[in-house]
Amino acid sequence: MKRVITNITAVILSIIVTTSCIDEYEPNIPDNEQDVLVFEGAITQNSNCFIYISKVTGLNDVTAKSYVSDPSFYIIDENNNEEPLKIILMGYERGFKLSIPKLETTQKYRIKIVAEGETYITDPLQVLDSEPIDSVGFRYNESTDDVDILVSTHPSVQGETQYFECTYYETWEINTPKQTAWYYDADSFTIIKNTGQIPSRGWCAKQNIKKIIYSNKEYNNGDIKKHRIYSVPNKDNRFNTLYHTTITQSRISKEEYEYRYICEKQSLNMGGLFTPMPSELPSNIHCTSNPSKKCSGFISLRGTSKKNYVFVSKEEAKHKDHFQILTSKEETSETSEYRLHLMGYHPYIIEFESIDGTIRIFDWILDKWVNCFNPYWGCNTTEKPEFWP
Amino acid sequence: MRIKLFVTTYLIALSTYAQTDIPSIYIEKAKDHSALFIGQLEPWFISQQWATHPYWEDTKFHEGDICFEGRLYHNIKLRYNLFSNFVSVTSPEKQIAVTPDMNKISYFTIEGKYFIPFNGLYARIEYDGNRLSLIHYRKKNIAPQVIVNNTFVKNLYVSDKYYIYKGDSIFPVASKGNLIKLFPDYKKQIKDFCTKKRLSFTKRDRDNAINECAMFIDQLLCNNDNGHDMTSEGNYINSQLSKLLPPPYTQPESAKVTDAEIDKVLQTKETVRDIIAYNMYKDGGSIDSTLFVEENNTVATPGVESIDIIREAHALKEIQVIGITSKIGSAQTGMESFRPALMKNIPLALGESDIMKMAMTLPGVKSMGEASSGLNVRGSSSDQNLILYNNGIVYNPMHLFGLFSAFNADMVSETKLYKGGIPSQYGGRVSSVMDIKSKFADKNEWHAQASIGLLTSKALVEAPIIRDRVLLMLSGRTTYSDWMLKTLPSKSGYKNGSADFWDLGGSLGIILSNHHRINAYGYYSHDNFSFTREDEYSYNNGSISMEWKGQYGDNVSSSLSVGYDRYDYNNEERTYPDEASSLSFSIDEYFAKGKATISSIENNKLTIGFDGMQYNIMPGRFTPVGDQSLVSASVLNNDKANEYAVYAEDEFTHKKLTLTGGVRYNIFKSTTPGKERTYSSPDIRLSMNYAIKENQSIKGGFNTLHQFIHKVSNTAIISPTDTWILSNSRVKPQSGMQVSAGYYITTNDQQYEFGAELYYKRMSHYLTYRGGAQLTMNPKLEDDVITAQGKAYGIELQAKKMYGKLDGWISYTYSKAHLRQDDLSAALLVNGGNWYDADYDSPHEFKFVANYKFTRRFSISLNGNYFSGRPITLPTGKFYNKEEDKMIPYYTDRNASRLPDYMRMDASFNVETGHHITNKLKCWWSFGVYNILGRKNAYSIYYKSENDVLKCYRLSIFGAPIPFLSFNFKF
Repeated sequence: MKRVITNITAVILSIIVTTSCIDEYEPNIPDNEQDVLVFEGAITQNSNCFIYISKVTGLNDVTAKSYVSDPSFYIIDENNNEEPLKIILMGYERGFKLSIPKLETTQKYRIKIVAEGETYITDPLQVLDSEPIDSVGFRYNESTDDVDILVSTHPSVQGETQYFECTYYETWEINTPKQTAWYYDADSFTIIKNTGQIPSRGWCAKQNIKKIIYSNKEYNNGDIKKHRIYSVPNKDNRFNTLYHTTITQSRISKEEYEYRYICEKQSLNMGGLFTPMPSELPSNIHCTSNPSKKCSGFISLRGTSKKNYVFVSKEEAKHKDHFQILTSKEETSETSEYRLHLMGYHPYIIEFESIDGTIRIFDWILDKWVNCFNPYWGCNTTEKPEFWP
Repeated sequence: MRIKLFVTTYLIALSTYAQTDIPSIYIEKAKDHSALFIGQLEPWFISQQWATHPYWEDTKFHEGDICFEGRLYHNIKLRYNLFSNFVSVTSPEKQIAVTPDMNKISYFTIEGKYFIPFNGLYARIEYDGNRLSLIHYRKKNIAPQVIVNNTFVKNLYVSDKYYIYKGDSIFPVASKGNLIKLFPDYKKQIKDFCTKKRLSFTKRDRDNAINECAMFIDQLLCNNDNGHDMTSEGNYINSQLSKLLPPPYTQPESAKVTDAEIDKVLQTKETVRDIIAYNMYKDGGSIDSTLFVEENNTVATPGVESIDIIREAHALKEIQVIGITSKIGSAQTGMESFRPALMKNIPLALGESDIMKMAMTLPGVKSMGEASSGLNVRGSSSDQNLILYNNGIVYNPMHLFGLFSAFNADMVSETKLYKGGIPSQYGGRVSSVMDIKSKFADKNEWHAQASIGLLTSKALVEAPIIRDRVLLMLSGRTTYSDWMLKTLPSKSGYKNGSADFWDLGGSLGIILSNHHRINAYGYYSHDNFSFTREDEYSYNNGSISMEWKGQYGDNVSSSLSVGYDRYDYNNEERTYPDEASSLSFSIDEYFAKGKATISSIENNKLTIGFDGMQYNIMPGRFTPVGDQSLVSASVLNNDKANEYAVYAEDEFTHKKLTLTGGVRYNIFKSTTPGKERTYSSPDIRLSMNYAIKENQSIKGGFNTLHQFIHKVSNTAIISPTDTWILSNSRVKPQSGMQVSAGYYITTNDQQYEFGAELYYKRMSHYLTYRGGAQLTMNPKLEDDVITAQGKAYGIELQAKKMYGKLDGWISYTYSKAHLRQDDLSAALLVNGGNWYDADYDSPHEFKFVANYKFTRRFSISLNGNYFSGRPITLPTGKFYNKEEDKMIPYYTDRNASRLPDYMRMDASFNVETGHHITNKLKCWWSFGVYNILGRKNAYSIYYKSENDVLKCYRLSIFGAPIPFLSFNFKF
């Protein structure tokens, strides 16, 4: 009887739980907000910078690309002196690289943008002093099997709540104890052998795109201690030999922090029980030629960024031997070499001589392990960086 | 036919059983020990608990005669209780009211009018003429409870019928037409007489009209029969009574006492025993008569040594238990009252009777959807409603994400919800007040009650520790969903989650005397849940209070209460051990309240009082969790303040008009260092009730209110991530104003009631969220919120069927609620500084609750809900965000879109066993289905960027019918 009751209750609870459902939905949404311009970017003192101009498109617009042609940029100081900003490069995906003159930290500036016949001007902006990073560290996280990269820093004014943004630049060394000279040539649809000398070391580098924002408000005395910036799985090839990361930190305003925070949250899954309700984007730019025209975005001024770095060895990251997880061709149902190539597989062929002649061990391995066999195929360079030990 | 036979038989009996006047010497000697005065004490009639009295004319004792055991006692003071069908007489010496055995009463007279047995009761002979007699048959039956002076009181409705006795036959008459039909030969004369006398046969004037007509027709008949025997027909009763002869007098066995014995008994009683006076009250509160009760709880009853006192031991033929109350009597507009225990069958929360869910079936009361905590009353946010449980404030009134209310309904005696006219004694919130009161244990017997359901179980014990003196009631409730969640498959996503809660409640009543009493209450509820192993949310509500109630004389009563409330939550996040942290928040309150009600001035009832409250809010404590956590502990400074209020309110009643006017003066003093500020403001409370007719009334009300504590949240519901802040130098108090009016009408038998209410309200300095603002652990939270002004208006229409096989109600509400940013000079204006729909705006709302009883054992209940979808902020487009490297939704105007309309119907089938009166164990089962339509009502709609495509998703809490089963028993 007890079992019957338990089963009944479990079934009913299952119904309750499984009927709490999430399904796709098509709401009726007005589309009168299209063609609104969104300006985003950070102008760094004594440096070049990018300003991105996006155009709001319809939710169901699959093209999702809408460019703004021939905008012009100006910087206006407190005395209303207006100076044009030269476009150095009109980048991919609506980015405009600008040349920035020297800015005074004591002055406030406004950025003026003329685009599509309308003039847009930001609120007055001030260069915020950048703070030094006290240290960059790491920690192996047992529960997640990740290596967490940590930052410690402090505010410029003790006790004041300040906001920061950082980016990181990763470099890691690939060491190939076992090498293969074979590769699949997609032009000839054949596996061919590289006859050149194969280096045993290579270095990869990557600049992260997403900037990380944080503040000191949750820390005692405002000093940020060992704040996690990002995590890398310890199985990642980054920890093949030695891993290095440089953290670059800038101070940002509270308003920019909130703008970025909303963008981040609204790009994530919303609508849960305790998740914040979506809200309109704050903005520090307005259309002055037509006040009724909507626009959005945030443009900020930055002081000089401060950097710091850390090395993480293979042992410190508790990196596992990745050869154990080879995927052989036999384990896949695919037989076409071209198709395997398209799927990211590479040929792994090792030749050695025996009394029976030349023996070849042949497998197909996934792209992510190819660096271990031929640095050419995955590394940025085989030249050792200057800072590398 | 039955009536005719009965009266005829009775009259024949009278003719053969003559009456005898009782010798005066007997009463002189036996006094209170005379046979007539031996019997049960008259059960108490406490006028405060009744809207109408159960007696024939009034509650007074009148001079009359009574034929008891064939002896006619003259000049006795007596009154006749129609409802319970007994006559009570007052003893000549101690003036104690006793009820003689009705089987021994042949007839009695009051103020010269005869009362004879008729159709199970005693009917009055209004006119005893020569050719006809007029019999007035009156009946009083139980009616739905009504609210008088903000209190539930029992009610009776009166039905009067008239019969003409003529020629050994009895004919019912109610109108002129009936009389003409009965006496067709005198049609013209009757018509002319009625016209000349301007007689009306409406309910109010029928008594006089029929009387006058009866006399007139009797005169006509006599004139027509001039010369004939004048006593041949109508004056039959009088003639029979006059023929009665007294039988030989024999003293009843129980009253056989000698003079000496009587003296001895009386002397003993007076010298040895302490006698306590128990007052009996008339309507209006004045003392009608006094009972003398010995201290050891026996009564100094004439004729017997002692008997147990019997309180309110009315032997009712049938009482229909009604949980629905009429609005006609109360002065306030928008006041709803209900007794949860009486509405146990309504399928509200998975088989459990639930106060908050019950409130949501009322017009103008809603929540943000399933799994939503808090109430939204007449276009208000959830923090603008004061929820009092035994005077203590409850901040999060729900369990399990809003599935169950935090109160055990079995423990609750009465719940009042003031949506409009809020009495002066309440303050501190700008929208509504829900006042929940605990029950007390039975005074004499132990009882226990329990309920076992699929998700929850609860138990309640009533313990009269000292009978009639110390009464203890304890209740507990818990859920066992936690262990059952673990039996679910992994793919459900909840296998590693947990959800459990429990609550405890208790009340202790100490009856010091009939006029003084001390009540103590305790309450604690705990919730704990997690979605994954790495997070955990918990929150607690607690309250303890003590109340002293006193009655001074007839017209003054008072109450004084002190207590302590606490609300706290603690959220743990352990995803990354080095960042594992705990965030906690708490509100502590100490309060003292005093109230006195004075009704010594005729037609006036004055209420004066004071409230005092001390707040201590700990806005946030951030602490590391686990050895590996690198998080630094930090605590925000406490928010402290004191709130005081004094109030005075008078209720003036004149004929059909009841006017209530009150003033509440609030003083709020923030004592948070650096944010000190004192605010003071008066609140005006006015309400009016004008009874157009007995069953119709119009009401009006005007309120101003202030609120000094504010919820700051960016979620739609009350959740354990909310922060509450006090008014201070940077945060102004919220203020509100409401005007409301209503019209109500009931049918004559009070079976149906119809009502319509209109309201309009404004508020200012309401705090709403600002996009991107961090609300937790923010030492400058006041800088990160937006102040808004609000307005709301609507009309509520409701029809109720109060009793019968089918009872319930149906309602429709049209309402609107708007907000607008207060500070229009701010750089960023929500929706450009224009009015926009509030999160809780829902224009159309349709609800019904119906219970149908097939038999006393089987019943079915339906509960239906439909309301417009609430506003939400949906993106109007998308744009590429370089930082996120993807398309993200573009949100502009807040709340410009709406969720799909909400519709849900629940049904339950209820089986009650153990109706036998001797069966102490009462059981009932409830089977049902929640959301029987299986509709996927949206809790929220949101967008997610997937490969540069924004996909829209709908989150439904219950997307299919949910069966439930509960078993309850009581003994």
